Amino acid sequence: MSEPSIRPALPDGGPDFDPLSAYFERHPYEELKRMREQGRAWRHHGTLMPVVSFFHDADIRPMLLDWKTWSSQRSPEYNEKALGDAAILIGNDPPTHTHYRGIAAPLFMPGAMAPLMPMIEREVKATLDECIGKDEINFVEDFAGTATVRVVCNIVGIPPKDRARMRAMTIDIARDDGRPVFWKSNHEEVIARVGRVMAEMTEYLDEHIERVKRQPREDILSKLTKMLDNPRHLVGMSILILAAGNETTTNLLAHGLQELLRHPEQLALLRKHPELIDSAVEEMLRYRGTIRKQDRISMVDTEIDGVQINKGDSIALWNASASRDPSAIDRPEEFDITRKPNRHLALGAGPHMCIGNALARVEMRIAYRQLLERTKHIELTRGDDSYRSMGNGILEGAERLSVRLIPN
Amino acid sequence: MITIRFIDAVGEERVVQGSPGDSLMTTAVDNRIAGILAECGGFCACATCHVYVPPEWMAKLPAADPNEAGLLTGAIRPTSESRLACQITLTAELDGLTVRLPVHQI
Repeated sequence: MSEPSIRPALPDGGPDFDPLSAYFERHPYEELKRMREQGRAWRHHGTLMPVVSFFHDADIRPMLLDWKTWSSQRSPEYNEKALGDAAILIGNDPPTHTHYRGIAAPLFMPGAMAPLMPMIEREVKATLDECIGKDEINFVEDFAGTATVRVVCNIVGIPPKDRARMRAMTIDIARDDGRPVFWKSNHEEVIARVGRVMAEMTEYLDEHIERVKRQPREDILSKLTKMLDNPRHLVGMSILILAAGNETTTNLLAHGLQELLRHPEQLALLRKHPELIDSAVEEMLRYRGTIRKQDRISMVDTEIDGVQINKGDSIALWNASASRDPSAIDRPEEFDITRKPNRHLALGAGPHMCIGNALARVEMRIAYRQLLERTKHIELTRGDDSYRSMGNGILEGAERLSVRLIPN
Repeated sequence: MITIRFIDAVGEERVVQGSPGDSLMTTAVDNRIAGILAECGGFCACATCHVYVPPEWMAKLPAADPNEAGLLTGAIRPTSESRLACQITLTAELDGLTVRLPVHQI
């Protein structure tokens, strides 16, 4: 591993932008700021795939909407090999995407959250019961990961005995998520490992869905089995719910707490005015949203800001950069839980906007409300060493946040 | 220009001008109507541009397609007056349109 403090350089000695470097992993927002200031587009050097990155809200927002030019459609071969059954939503464009999204969307829209809230409250409470008052917890796993996996497992009807396995598999998928587009050499071992996890998850879900069909319950997966016939589509939806609904919210919970601890005046304000929780969650999404980058494929030959883009090039849209773009957001480097309006891009936009956004928001609001109601103080237990990242700079990924939750 | 009246959940009114061919959603966003989030940007994918359209104006609108109708079932507190602003295209016939905004979009 290269020395983290050294910025990658190009052959001509100028600074490189390498999202897979240890430097980027350590300094993501400084690097994204530098890239916003250097121009609109950046063609990466030495990557196996031709790839161009974008950094500004004014570019990324319309590109996310213009799916005909900046496509999510992958070849059938890629979808089968790289995305598996999950390609149903993330590897397709309209009209295929619209058809399947339209089936699942009403189950995840804001108005569909009310029936889920008692379950989320219950699971958050049970998780917090096991964390509160202990000398030290790893907030990432013991609270955030545990509460989140309980919720998503309930949504797809996975029994408590298999939750830990689901959590482990989704961590394995996230570890290299978003990285292959920037690879400068092949990483067969990563492809093989992710392939094994996807195969294991698919096999588990195949059996699980058969059980659910025989004995339907009130969960979302049972409802989906009545709407979708093809078992491959049901497995795909389940993988998306489990994988996309687990690591994202887990990390957001951890990084939101990290920011509150870094900004004690904001934490005090939230304790005094719990009604600010909705705007606080939006600010956590803007400031530390888990998904930093989304991939598209260019469908055209064009030139943007002096950078030639060819049809078929991979396009990396840095939504984490757009959410801190001073031309779109006032005082973007300031963490302000009262911020309104807050038009961040943490959840994307356009046809592929995060389908689980309402669920993530409800989980965050419930988790923080309970956390703050039941604690008088939250403190880091290992000083500057209390936090360790997962090591994948493409995501806001946390491995450990060591804290003590001191009860009322 | 087409005149649109937005009435928020506490009764505050804003009157704005829109252009034929634009959607009601983009007209709201361009005029910074706070009650319209429109997070997905007009793809009938998020249900955060939910508005209530009174019956006399609903009669002038094409019926919601199945995708919009499905998404509306997932909006917060949908009623028979519910529509998604991104699916309403402004026409001369809608001059004077009044819509109410929900308490929350998310």
